[in-house]
Amino acid sequence: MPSKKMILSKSPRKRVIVIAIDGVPFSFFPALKEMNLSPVLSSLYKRNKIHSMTTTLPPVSSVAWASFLTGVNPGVHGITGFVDRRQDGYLPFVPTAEDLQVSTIYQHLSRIGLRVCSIGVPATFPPAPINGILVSGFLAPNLERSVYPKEEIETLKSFDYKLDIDAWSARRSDDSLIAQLPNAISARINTANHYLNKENWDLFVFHILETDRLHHFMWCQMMDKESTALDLFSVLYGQIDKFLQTIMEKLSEETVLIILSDHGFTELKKDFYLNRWLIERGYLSLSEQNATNLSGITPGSKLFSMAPGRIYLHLEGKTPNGTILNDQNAELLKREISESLENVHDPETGSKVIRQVVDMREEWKLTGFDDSPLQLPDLIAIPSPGYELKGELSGSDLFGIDRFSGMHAYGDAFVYLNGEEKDEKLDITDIQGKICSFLGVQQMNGESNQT
Amino acid sequence: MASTGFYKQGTTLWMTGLSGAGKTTIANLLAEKLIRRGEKVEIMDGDVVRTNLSKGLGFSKEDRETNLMRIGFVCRLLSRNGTIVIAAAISPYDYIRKNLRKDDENFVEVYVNAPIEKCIERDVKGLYKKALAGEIKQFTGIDDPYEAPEDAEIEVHTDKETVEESVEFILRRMEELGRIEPDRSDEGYSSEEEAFIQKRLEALGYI
Repeated sequence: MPSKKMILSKSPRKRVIVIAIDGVPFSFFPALKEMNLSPVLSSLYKRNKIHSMTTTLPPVSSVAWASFLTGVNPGVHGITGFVDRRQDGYLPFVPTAEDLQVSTIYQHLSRIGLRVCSIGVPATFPPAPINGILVSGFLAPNLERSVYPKEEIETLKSFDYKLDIDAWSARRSDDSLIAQLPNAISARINTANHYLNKENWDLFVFHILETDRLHHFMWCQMMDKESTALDLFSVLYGQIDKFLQTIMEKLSEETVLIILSDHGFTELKKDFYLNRWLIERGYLSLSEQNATNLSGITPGSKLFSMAPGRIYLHLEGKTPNGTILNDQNAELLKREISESLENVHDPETGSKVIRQVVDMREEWKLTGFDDSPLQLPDLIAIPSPGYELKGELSGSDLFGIDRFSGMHAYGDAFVYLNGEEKDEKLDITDIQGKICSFLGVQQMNGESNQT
Repeated sequence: MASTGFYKQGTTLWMTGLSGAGKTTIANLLAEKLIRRGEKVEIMDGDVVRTNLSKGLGFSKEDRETNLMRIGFVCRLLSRNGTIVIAAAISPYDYIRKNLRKDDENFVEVYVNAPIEKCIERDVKGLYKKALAGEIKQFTGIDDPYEAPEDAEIEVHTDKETVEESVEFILRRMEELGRIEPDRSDEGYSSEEEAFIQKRLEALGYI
């Protein structure tokens, strides 16, 4: 439990705590209140202190938290998905903090001598030295490689800190999920309380991952009163509520509290396999019939996709075998594919699968779009709620059903900004600037204006 | 991190401490290590500066202040042009160090801390002996105060650490403060680790 001495600091200096709760939608707050999952969050919502916030396209945790850290959109910071690809090949790779093209608020504050403590935030592996303590997010391969400085490993072990749950085991049985999640969040909160108390921080960022995992596995079961899911929701949100209550009771006037999420959640009905659709329509062809990756893409292919819904022109100069010229024809192709995709319907229900296709060059307002070392998607397809856009190649079905009942929603994140009333449209890229303002330090350089 | 331009600014690494605390020794080894990392480095040693930039100045409070402000001025010019300047000067007065910091956005203070007894014991230049014998007046730590910094970004204890340890600690703090690029051996994923992470992402339905 955080001691009074750290949060109720007598020092007049401003400090900021950020509680980052992964995958909690703004639109979830009425249900949160009805189900009495978190009296603290419900009370803030009732008093109009919780605001809706837009987030990155695509709404993927590593992408969105990278935007939180840098204050710029994914086209500028460079991470556009859990996997990306470089221009010299077709195989995907997992981007890390080393692929970020701009500096983070942690580096900015470290350089001016402020202390930072960050626990579990995605897009922070490998943990670069900062003026403080950094525990990477769930994309770190193991605990030993997740921490700066390394001396903190033993502390994390002593709290039984987990980077993530065992998702394979959770896929196999609900019992495994039910056994893992409460322990994981408990260890995470105990670790946060330890560092809140022990460290002399100026910025403290604490990321809670378990909400995202719970929502993926049990979003729809939540409303079923017979389901064990409700108990799990109560346990997890109950722990978060208790933690928030402790923090809020002990906040001093000098300490600013920010609570936010990175994306929304909604019911997952079906997966839609975009690459298979491209193959079926003749936009993509592969030299092997049962290919599991794009390494066998034929030069004549015009388009390919990576989850979730990222579409790339098979451009000459931007891909090893690409033949599409980046000229007027490319613009025509983009228009053609957008119109076609927006007319895809679920044959079972007649529902529209893709709500909108967005031209990312315009969305990200990039002038140097073609200069990026990573290949940025030319288009992003935004699905209608309920349809997840996947990148699988092998197989012939266009639709499939996965183990999960929840999927990330586009937009629909929330933010609480120290009780401030909302007087502006907020995006996740704005939060880094708010932190600098609260701390009374200079803003990061002009990169933050490119959203 | 690629092309952030984050490390392009230099640093004024201002080492303060008693005579004999180890400032010059640390500065020399630190400079060598920084040069090996590809940094542009200059040393502004208080004793050396007195033979050129501040030739003719004595040890009165006013002359000491002038000397330090001159060193600070040169440090500022160099650091804003991407050089790491290591200033090694006793700089005993807190208000002067605060003024130097105020004028230089790249100012990082290093307190080279050693007890006066240890410095007297070392007495490499024989100055303490003379000061204690009254042959040198206004000698810092003997008959002139040394005001230890309270908010130095870096502090080393040369009575408890080897020179190598102190230098390694300074390098680590410079990395943490974003003053030099991290020198890490365990970057990114190994191919096995990346395959493991991709499997984890598959389990979560992300890819």
